Amino acid sequence: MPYILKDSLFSFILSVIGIILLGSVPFMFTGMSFNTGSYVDGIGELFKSMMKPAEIMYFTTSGKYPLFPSMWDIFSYSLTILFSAFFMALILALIFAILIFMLPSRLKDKIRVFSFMFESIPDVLIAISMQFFIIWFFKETNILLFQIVSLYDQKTYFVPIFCLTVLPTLLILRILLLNMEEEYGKQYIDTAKSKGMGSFRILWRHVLPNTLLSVFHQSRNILWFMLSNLLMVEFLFNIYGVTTLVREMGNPAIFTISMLMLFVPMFLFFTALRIFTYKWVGEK
Amino acid sequence: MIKAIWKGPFFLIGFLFVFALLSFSLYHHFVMNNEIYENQIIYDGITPIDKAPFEPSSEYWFGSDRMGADLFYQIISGAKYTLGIAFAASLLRIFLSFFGGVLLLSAGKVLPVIKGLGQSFYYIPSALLILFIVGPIIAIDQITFWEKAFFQIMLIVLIAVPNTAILIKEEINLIQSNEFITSAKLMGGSRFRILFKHVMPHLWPRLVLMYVQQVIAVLLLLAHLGILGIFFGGTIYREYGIEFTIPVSVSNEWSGLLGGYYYQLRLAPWLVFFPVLSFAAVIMAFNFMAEGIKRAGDQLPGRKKMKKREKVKEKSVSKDQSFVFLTERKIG
Repeated sequence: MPYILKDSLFSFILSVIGIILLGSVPFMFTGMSFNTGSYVDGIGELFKSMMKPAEIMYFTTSGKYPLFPSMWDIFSYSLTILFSAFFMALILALIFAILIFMLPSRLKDKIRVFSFMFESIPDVLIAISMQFFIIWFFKETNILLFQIVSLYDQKTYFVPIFCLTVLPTLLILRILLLNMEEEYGKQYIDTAKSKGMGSFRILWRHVLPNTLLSVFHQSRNILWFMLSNLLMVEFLFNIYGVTTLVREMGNPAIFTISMLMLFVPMFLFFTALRIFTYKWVGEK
Repeated sequence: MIKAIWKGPFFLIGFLFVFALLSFSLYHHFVMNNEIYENQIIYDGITPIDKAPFEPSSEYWFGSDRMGADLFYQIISGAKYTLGIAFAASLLRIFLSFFGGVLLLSAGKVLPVIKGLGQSFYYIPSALLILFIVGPIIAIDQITFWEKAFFQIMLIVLIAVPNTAILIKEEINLIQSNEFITSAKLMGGSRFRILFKHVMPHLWPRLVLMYVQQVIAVLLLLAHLGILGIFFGGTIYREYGIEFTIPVSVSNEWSGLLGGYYYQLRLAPWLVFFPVLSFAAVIMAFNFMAEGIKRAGDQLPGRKKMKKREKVKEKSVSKDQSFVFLTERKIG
């Protein structure tokens, strides 16, 4: 346990430094040429402006506003979408995995063999198809299913969360399917079977918890992947979230602050997962 | 390894698709002179019946844009550039990461620091990072198109190098924990000899797999950058009607097509849909290839032999015993 905390603190500090270093990269280029001196100056400048967050301004079409406190609103909106999509993906993937395991084994094997195709669908395709579908449905029946495009003060939740959920669900489902198969080959399953346990009980009590561990191990990659999705979804549905803010401002200070604010909850989430798995199975 | 790859159907399907697309694109370039059929108004006799943009039909497979240019041939023509960028960028990524990985081997105490710094890439969407860095530079007019393209490709390459280098370093460490490396060291092999003679034969199948995965990553990134409006193919403005000019991609490169047509989403949805779909198809093909390589890697000739030998041993032991081994029970 102390090891985990120490290690997490270490990587926390380094990641923060890394994000600040990345945030000041635009200072490195004057035109097209590298300039190391101005990079070092730029880091200092970035640091100075981040020390005084009250003075950072952002622009919208209607005018110029201070970044805080409206930043909290924008930020919590993006974070809500991101994490609710992640948990929904997790739950949906679990349900699908259980359903697939109920299928006859010939079908099950086929799904597993072709599960790698799940990863091939670009997020852009899903978001655009969703927009087409809603527009088409509106044209056909004159019912607007959901508010597609969010205006500045109107927040839509359902459609962006749905678009963000689809791909991670497939990704987690694939991880679950592959690991479940591996888990079923282990000998403790034979023991459980020979003790007369029902197959659903084995799946629920033994196989699922063990495969969930591998999902936790992959959670960083999954969330990173979802961040790219978030960028696309916010762009395509015209949502004013963190990535939109960064995209439109292009200001190093806003970039760094936004990325740090995204980083902190994600990092806390991973650390919590790490402590949780440590308590559970004793893995560091 | 190479023979095993070709035997599986997965790699072959993916490879054939990409190969066919590329050859058709080159055929279109050299034999058909890169011509894209343009026609703004369809006549029935002398009465005009339809005006561009046309919907997808048997004549225009993927529809056409407002200039009346056939989207199918635009996509075919752009395929060579998009795939070329993806191939070149991922090759550079793997190449630089390999050197980085070898350097990291002797990093010693600095290694955890580098790893920690590399982690920060996991919290920033890569398309956003590129947009953030490239944005101010694209706005400068004095820089020529080629310089901008070069700069963007270098960024696409560099952005993945730190984490891939760490990954390759870990792969090398895994191979180096084998016993044959220890014996090679005992025999007095120098570091570079061990690296190239003993580690590389085991590493390069992994590198091939990583290469294909990087191609997928680059293609996805290109699609994202295209939607965000960062053109790779260069932009020119063409006159449309009398008073309008609209941005058009010069080379028909796919991310350029996406960026150019994105604003016509409501007017002509197929103009956005088909470029995205072709990205999806190519990514699917590369996923097939990656799966084929993974499967071939699972049955490396060396490992197979060892397994066989073990099985034979177990059998001979169990013959004169009264119980049956668990492993044998599963085989039988």
